[in-house]
Amino acid sequence: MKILVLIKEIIDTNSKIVFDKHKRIDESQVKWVVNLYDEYALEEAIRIKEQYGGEVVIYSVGRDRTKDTLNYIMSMGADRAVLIKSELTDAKSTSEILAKHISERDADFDLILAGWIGIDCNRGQVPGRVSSILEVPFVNVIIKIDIHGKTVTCEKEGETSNEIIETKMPSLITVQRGINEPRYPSILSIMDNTEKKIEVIENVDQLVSKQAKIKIEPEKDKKKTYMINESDPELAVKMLMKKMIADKVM
Amino acid sequence: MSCDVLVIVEHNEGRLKNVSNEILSYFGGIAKDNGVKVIAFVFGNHITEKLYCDIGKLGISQIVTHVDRDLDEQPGLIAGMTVDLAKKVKPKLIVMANTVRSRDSAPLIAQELNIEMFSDIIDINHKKTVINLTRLVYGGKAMEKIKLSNQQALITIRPNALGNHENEAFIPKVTRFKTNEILKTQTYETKAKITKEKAQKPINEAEVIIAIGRGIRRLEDLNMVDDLARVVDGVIGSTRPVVDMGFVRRSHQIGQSGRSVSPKLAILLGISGQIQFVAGISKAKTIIAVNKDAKATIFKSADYGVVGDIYVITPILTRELKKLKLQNR
Repeated sequence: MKILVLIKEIIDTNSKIVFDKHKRIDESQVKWVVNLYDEYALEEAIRIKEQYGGEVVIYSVGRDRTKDTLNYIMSMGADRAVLIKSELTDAKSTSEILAKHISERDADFDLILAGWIGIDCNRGQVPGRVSSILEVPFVNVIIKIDIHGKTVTCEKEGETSNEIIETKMPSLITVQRGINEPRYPSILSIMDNTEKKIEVIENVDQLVSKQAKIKIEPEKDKKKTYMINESDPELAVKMLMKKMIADKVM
Repeated sequence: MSCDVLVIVEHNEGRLKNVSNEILSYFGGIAKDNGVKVIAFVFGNHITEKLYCDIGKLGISQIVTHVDRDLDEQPGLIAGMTVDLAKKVKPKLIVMANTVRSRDSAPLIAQELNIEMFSDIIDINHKKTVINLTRLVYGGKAMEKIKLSNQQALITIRPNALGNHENEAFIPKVTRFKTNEILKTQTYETKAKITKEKAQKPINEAEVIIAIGRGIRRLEDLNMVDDLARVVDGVIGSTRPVVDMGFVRRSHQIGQSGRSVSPKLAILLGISGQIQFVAGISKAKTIIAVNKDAKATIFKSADYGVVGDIYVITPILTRELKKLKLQNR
């Protein structure tokens, strides 16, 4: 079985995000990590491989530095990785680049797994778009995967009810938190730099025309908090109610 | 037939979802002010005249409808229909709700139509020639400002972001639309639906949210929170640790690895204010935080902060809110 895993390298959203004087994110001051949801996807792929055999291949669109991030994450147990270097970062271009290189190298995949959303840009587009280009079913936000031959049974997390879905290989499945607990990469494997097979490809970036203009701005609204610190709880609640009624919140 | 804006309507068995109500009422206003042509696309089961009327009341004069009693609402089908319609009516902008269902089909539609997509929009300013959009990135630490001038695009709008607007009502013109277009290679089979014990409103569509943190000690203590939720007609959500303890469903987790929500009112009980959680709640219109630690960081994000024990404050607050509710009746 050949399982491809889409991995996105993202800015660690737990670290402080610093803007330079041009209001751009100062990339030298941030930490780069693997998107949390993609780690669940990789863990799931490795578990499937451990049970049924086969190969786990990482696909990622990134920069030079992405190689270090992939090196680390591969130590969880992926067989090889394909890093496609591109300056394009929008969801549509990223998806088209991924699909193109997957078709050229690993068109015989059985499954593509990915995190359902990137916690940095909160877009949730690339997996769906890739499935559309590769013309395979798109099974989104999955918390359980069972495999019987070429049939994959998935539990999909819904808002008020969950669904049991059956799809055939090849399919693209995105995973949600709760599907597994990712293992830690093995220390020995992290330290051993020789064994990892990361193929680095330079993408021939096509000029994208007619794109929307996008600007990133620091979030500014700081709230003024009306604090109530009273030892008498009855009084505290009364004060709260009075103020909220005066503010027309209630 | 052509249009500038195509709104994909979501409804529950013929009842308009609030998020669709917000989107349609916003574009109803834009249609009047800017002369923008808007079509509302309705599909699925239980579609009635009343639904059409409700849409007309929001200032929408044109509806396209695809009635299908047995529509399996999976991404390949919804995307196929929508793409087919979009190719016929050629909208500049396709607008969907940022719900689980739309997030499945939206990327497929955008790719099939070869257009850009912007998800989870929290603010829109539709002028005559340009459309300005705002969304949150990097765990709510930054805003992405998007300016559309002449590009075709698909956007999904966060529930409770636009609010409801009053417009002049129309008796809408309803056009039947028949299509068998589905993205054939992209379909799967839905075998079963597992409905959860209590069918609650999805947390990202709730107008009032009661969120609990580690200040809650035992599962039984949720009864106290339930009482408060009932009085304010709220939905219960929580931080990640409370989900991990098994007290609250994962789909009701708020924060970076959960849902981002924008309710009108959020009451936060015993939440310390980890940045991952705050990222998901910061767009609530009004936030009340109750915490016994006066230095808790959550107070920085709150409009009203009450220092006190949630086990003491919550029942009193419930009682007082109930009183107020009875008075206002």
